[in-house]
Amino acid sequence: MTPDNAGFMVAAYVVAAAILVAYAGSLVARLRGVRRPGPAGPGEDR
Amino acid sequence: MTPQDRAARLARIGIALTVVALLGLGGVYLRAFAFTPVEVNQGAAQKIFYVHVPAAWSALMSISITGLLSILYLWLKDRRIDLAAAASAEVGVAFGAVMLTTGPIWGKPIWGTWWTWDARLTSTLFLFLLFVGYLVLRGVLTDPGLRGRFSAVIGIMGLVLVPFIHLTVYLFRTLHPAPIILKPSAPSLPREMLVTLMLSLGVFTVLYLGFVMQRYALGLLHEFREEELARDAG
Amino acid sequence: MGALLRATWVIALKDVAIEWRTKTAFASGLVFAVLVLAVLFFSRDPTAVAAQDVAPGALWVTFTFAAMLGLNRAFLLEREMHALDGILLTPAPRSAVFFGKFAANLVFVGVIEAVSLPLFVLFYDVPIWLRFGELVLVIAMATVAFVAVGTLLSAMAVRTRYAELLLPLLLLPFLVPPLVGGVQLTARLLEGRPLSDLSGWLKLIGAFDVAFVTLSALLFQVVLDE
Repeated sequence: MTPDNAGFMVAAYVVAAAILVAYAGSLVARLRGVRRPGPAGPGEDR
Repeated sequence: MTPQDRAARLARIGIALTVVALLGLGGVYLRAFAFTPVEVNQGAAQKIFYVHVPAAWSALMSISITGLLSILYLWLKDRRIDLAAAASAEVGVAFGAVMLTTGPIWGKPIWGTWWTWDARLTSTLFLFLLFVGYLVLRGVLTDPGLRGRFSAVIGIMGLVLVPFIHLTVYLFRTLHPAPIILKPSAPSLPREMLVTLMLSLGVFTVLYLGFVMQRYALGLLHEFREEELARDAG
Repeated sequence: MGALLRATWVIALKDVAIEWRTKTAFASGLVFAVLVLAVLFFSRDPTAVAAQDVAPGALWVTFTFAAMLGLNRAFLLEREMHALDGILLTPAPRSAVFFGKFAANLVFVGVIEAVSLPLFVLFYDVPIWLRFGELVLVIAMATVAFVAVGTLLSAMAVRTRYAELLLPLLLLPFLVPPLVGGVQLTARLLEGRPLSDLSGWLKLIGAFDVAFVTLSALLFQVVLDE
């Protein structure tokens, strides 16, 4: 009897995509930020 | 072309690769959902495999690359190697996050529990934490020389730790499924599933490259700006 | 080689002497040991969980937390006194600094372990006398593992403002193989399994010791370089 658990599959796929897209977005945002003038903040890493 | 321009161009290539890979991920999702057979014992949830396993591989690969670059950095002392190592580490943490979220979501319907302190899960969790620590360490160290050296130390230690954690897994009876890909004989996955997995691995590899290029370029651009500010202030 | 050993001895002796004079880290380590052993003992349902089942875990939690307390203190003291700069000015070989500190930390953790063990027997009523020698061997091997890595990591952590946060965070992943091995071996020894059954775990911890003592000693030089 094959269990009906497609909900979990969808959840996992959504979470994975969300993390990857969020990370991609953070990279683009930080790249844009570094082009703007102004000193680096104390917590900024290389 | 100034070094800044080169870094900016690298970032743009990285972004392009990332976009392509993310679209590819969508394609993999489609293929996994609609064109790959359902595993009879686990049901649809088994398809999480096509995201979880490539993420895990990629995380492990990212971390190993950081380790290798760390050795190179201590030997050659080139700051760009340190930046590349840090880029790979951060990307490894991102993939690790995917692995550590999709894993439990897969585990719940199959094993009945979100988490179990079996050796493999425990090990990957702690490896993830080590690289979070790596990033935290980089965050609190302001001197680039110190930061580079200390990061390299963690990177190398992490690299050597990986096989020990793997050995700990094999010595401990575990719920985690036995490896079916890296067996000495042929993999026991049916062909359709293997193709989907390979496609997903390809997507994740391109994603890794795109992410690392962007992160590396970001590190370079930060350094250039720091130098600019120092020059203007002086 | 003679210079290395002499320098190691002197540095180790200095650290142990300093700690002996104040005894604060010893005291907090011991108090912590009693606390952990007691809490873990009383936090179970005694009708459902035998003391023997909880025992190995309780013992090793005690050991590792005591070790972390000691490791932090050792370098904190150093930093406050800028003593490290003084040592580096001497002609002592750099690796002596690592081995000296490593030895002193081992003494510290070893004393805590030696005092915790009778407490452990008292609380958990485990028959350690039957396998005492083998148990001591296992404890020694695993302790060497996390003290070696801990000595290196505390040298790095102490250079930041967040040493108390960074040391446990960075050390934790390296604790997994020796800790899992230590608990497994302790549990099986207390169950009465022969040592030959446990060769896998012993080899794992042994290899870990060799790899990480060497690596920590080598990388320590990188950490010290200005």
